[in-house]
Amino acid sequence: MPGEEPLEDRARVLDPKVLAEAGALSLKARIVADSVLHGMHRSRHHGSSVEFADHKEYSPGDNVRHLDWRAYARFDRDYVKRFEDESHLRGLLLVDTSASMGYRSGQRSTKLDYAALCAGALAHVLTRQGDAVGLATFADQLDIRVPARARRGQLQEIVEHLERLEPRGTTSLRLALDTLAESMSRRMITVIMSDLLDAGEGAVEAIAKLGARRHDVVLFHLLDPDELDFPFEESTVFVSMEDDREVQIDARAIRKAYLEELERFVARVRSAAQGSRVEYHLLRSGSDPTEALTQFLVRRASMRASAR
Amino acid sequence: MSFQSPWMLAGLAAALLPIIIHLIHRRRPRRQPFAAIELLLRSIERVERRWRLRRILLLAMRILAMCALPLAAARPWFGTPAAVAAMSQGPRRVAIVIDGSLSMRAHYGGRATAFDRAVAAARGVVEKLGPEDQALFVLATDKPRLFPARPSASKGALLAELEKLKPSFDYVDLAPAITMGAEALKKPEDGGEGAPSAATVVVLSDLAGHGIRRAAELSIDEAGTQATLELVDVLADLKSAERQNHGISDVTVLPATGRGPGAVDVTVKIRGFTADKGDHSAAKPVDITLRGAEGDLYAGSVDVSASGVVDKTLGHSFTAAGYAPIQVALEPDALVEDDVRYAVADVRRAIRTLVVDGSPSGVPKESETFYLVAALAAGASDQPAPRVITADDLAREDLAGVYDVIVLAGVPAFAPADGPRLLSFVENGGGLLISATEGLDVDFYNSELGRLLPRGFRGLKILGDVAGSSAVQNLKEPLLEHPVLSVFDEAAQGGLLSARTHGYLLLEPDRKKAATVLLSFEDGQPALLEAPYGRGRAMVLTTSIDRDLSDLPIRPAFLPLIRRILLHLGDALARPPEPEVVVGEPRTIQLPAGSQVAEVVGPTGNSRRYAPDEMSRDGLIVFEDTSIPGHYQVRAAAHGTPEPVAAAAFTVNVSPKESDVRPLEIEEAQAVLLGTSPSARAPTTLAALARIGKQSIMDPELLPALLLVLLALSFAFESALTARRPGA
Repeated sequence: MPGEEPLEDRARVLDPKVLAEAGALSLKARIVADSVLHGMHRSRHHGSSVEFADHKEYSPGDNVRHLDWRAYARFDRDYVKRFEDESHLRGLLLVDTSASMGYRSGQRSTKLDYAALCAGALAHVLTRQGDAVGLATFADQLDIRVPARARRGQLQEIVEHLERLEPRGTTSLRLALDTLAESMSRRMITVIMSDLLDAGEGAVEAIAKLGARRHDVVLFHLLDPDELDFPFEESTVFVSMEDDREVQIDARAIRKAYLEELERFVARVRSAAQGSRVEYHLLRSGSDPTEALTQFLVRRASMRASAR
Repeated sequence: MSFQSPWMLAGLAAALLPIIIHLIHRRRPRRQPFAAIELLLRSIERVERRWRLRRILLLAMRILAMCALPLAAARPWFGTPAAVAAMSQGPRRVAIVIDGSLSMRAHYGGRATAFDRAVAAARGVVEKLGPEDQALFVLATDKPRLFPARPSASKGALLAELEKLKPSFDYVDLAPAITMGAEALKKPEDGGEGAPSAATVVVLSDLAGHGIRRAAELSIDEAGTQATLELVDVLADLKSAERQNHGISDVTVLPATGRGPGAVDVTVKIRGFTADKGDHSAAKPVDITLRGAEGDLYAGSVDVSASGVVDKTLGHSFTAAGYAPIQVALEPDALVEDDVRYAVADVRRAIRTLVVDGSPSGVPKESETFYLVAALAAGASDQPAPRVITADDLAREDLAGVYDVIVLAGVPAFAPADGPRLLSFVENGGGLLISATEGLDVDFYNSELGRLLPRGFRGLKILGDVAGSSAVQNLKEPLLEHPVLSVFDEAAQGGLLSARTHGYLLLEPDRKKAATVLLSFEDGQPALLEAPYGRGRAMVLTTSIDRDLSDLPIRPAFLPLIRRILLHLGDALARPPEPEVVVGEPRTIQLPAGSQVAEVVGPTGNSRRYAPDEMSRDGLIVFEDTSIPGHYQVRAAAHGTPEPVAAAAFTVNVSPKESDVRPLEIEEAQAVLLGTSPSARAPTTLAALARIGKQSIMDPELLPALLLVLLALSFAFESALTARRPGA
């Protein structure tokens, strides 16, 4: 479409350096959101109506003017078209603000900054779609910063909160999710952004449990490149970021064993997530989140269409 | 263990370096905040056990690596303190004494002989000498010899000399060879004076006790500095039960009685020796063979125990009289050379005896020859019975070539024509015995047989006839060296000397003739005497051969006396056993009278000729080259080609002492050779002495090389321990 950049140009827009120089989170998040939307548009079938969202089966009370006769002819059922305003989601962005999220390698942004960026981009996209989006954080306890609403100023409020996030405290994801589950009266999409490190016992199970309650849960598992690659070479004293534990080791000698342990950890989380229908994405902080976010949103869009 | 360059051990301090580096590393680690600390701790826990071992091994390898270099540079050496001290004091001189005695020819279990082992060990010593070291060999035989004459630094020359050395058949005392070796170490190679900085005498031997009997002299300078003595048992790797040997220690050949004149009894004494301390009373059969010039004469077996002595008598009857060389051989064992012994059988011939009865009688007991014939009849199986005739029958009897011995038994006189015949008989090799009787015509005998009589007859003396004279005379002063009387030991002499004689011939005191008095009466008058005449001899018994004048015929000694007199006259008396000639000892040989040229031929065919100026006035020569056991032949002649002299042949045998292969402990041997034992004879039970230890000929260059290999391996091992894997 006119104004749309070709796919191969997207990378220029989301060059991490460019993004890093974009300044405020709101701008960065918008850049990412635009990129995501662009990706989403490209992923839809050619010729579909922008306004048309999806179908739903006719039920008494529906406006008959919206009956889709072609669908009727095809499926011998009454379907009415559902438009954008009839398929809005309720979503909650749940961001881990524990101390471990404050880790950064080199000159990159911290995991928390990256989580805020992803959360901000998602907030952009969802609010543009008219979905109700909220923001909650957790460290040692759950903190609902912005309740999920679809109103003017919602995005602004979310971004402001995201900009003020500071990493502190220990992680108690299980407590946070249990609290959240009790307070969730309506079905909503919960997007969790966490490194899940030092998440405490039962964290992964808590995520799986939430998913089993028929809530949509998406887990963006954020890890720093240092945590993923363990590039350390020397004898090093590694110091915990959430408590007073530290250990001195020959980093090169332990690397292989660490990476094996990391692989086991990630596999366990992924397996638990998939087993409970939790959508799982592993993200490397500092990298381009577009693809992962796009995949998530496209999947959500198709699910929404099938619900009409 | 000692070190040739001990100062290099200071390098061991470098072993501290890895520890210091390790500690340094520990003090300066980087601090890194890390969010995935839980993952890190779990991975550490997982590999902790492996890590602990790796850390320890790593540190150990590094320490080992740092130690290996200075240890190698310090050149460790396993050996005796004295040897090491010598080695560390600069150029050494070494006298390598190689035991060349008979026992070193033994090979146990079919392996190399002890001498070959000693040569191999000597080669090893030479090859490990330093460029400035000097050495020589001493071959320990009965007459030790130096090879070369002075210590040499040329390994090539030394090894060439070594190849020439051979073991001997000698019975050897090691002390003289060791002393010779120490003496040789006094003189530098360039002929200058002064003792070397380090002198060692290395003895390569089987340490058999028989060769270590006295102390050696080891001083190498005026101050009395002693050379270091190192003993090596070249058979140390053998079990004690393997070191055993049997050998023939003695062979005696005597005429056998009752089986004819050619019969001999060969008595063989066999000894067994073993180094094992267990019970070895059980005997096992060993083959034994008697061999003569024609081949095997007897083959049988004898039961021999590993530790003990056994006698075995073998009998054989020779058909020809004379000297028969024989050898006795046992089934060979580890030491073959002592399983053969050489001897000579003196095979008697049958003598034909004619007895002329001077007083025949119809009553046998009255006959002059009754006791004589009875005595000869007792040994009839060994010799033919004599023919007895009367004096009247003598004229009709052929003498020459028919008889070997004639006895005029109390014959008062005989036909004058018989006088020349008797003279001719004796002159041509016959033997004549004349016994006295009453009525013997002394003038007749003097005129007819005066030339062959040992002394002229004077007249018969009857004791008691003259007032104041004793009634009887006993015998005295037997000439035991004479073959006739050599068998009369002290007990037998009693039966001879107690004979009572009351009548005997008085003889002229003629000293011109070479008469030998074998027996005398108490008053000094000869009772039995002989004299040579031509190629024969004549003997006179100055009393009667019957009981008329003496009771000698009824004495127990009469039988062996009269038989030996006749055998002697017939030259059929067995030669008394000759003193044994042991390998290395000289042999004095009596040549026949008038010999001007002589030759001695050894067992290998080598001969030694003697010129007249090498013979003594009485025809004696001394033969010294008895280095090889076996039969030695003597030839002599007045001129021209020497002819065999059977009577002079002799045998050389190995010393039976070399059969005893039991070794001394090194401590005992060292004590004896150094003179620190109260008894110079071995083996003895000695108090514990400072252990010198077995010579360990370990290459001093080898250990440093091994240590450097260890260093390389330790580095390789460390690399493996610290190997990095590629990134995930």
